[in-house]
Amino acid sequence: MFDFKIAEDGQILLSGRLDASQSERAKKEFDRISRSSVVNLKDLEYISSAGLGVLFATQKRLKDAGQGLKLINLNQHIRDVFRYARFDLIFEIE
Amino acid sequence: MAKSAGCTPNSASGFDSCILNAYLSAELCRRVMPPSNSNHIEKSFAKDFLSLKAIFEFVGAFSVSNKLDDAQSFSIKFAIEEVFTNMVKYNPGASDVSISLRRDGKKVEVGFVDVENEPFDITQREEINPNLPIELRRPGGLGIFLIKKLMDHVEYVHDGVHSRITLTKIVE
Repeated sequence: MFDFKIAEDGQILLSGRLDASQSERAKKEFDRISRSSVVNLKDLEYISSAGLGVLFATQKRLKDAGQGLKLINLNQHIRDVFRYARFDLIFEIE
Repeated sequence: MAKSAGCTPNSASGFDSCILNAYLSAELCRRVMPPSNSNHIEKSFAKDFLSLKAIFEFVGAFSVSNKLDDAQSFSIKFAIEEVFTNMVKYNPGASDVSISLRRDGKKVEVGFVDVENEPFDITQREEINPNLPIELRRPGGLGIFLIKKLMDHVEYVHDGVHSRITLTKIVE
């Protein structure tokens, strides 16, 4: 089960599995983000290209407005996928 | 030498048709009814994104029984989702997709069979360039690109009726 929450400090908390069956829901949530934000992936177990596409589209929209997403706490498997996709060139990743 | 009914020696090749029939029967059996052990499982899934949950459970059970580590299981789930969702998006229809998983020593083979009139060879898709800056990158093609990164071999065959995709992952 995928979940999207915004914490009191403004961090976006993703959890569960962001696959193709959840990407529409994720897109709706990310479409509401209009300024630079930190996305905490600590509890995100899995992401597929559908989920990567949502993050990519959000980053592209925010960059056009001089904003951006910073991604933190990626698990090793997700970090590997980001590295293969060269998303490390697109996102600030910590 | 006694012959079973229907068996005839082929004088041209010297090959006994009994042997050929026995081989073909065994091969048909193997393909239609694969051995029901944990090294080889097969299941059909409705062509719908909502099937993903059941697919992940299917792969999860195989990963546990074959002692795959988290990274191997993640890669296989990722690759299966990418192929399956391509079939859902680009070949929608009533037919199910058959997915098989086979452990053969140090490799895992993932097989897909989908009824598809027009071939859609994922191995021939144009490669994306992941090094482009964000302004020049376009959506699309990332899933197939990542399958090739996460798996060791990708094979596509179209037999006129079915698309058959086999992904191989070395798991030593």
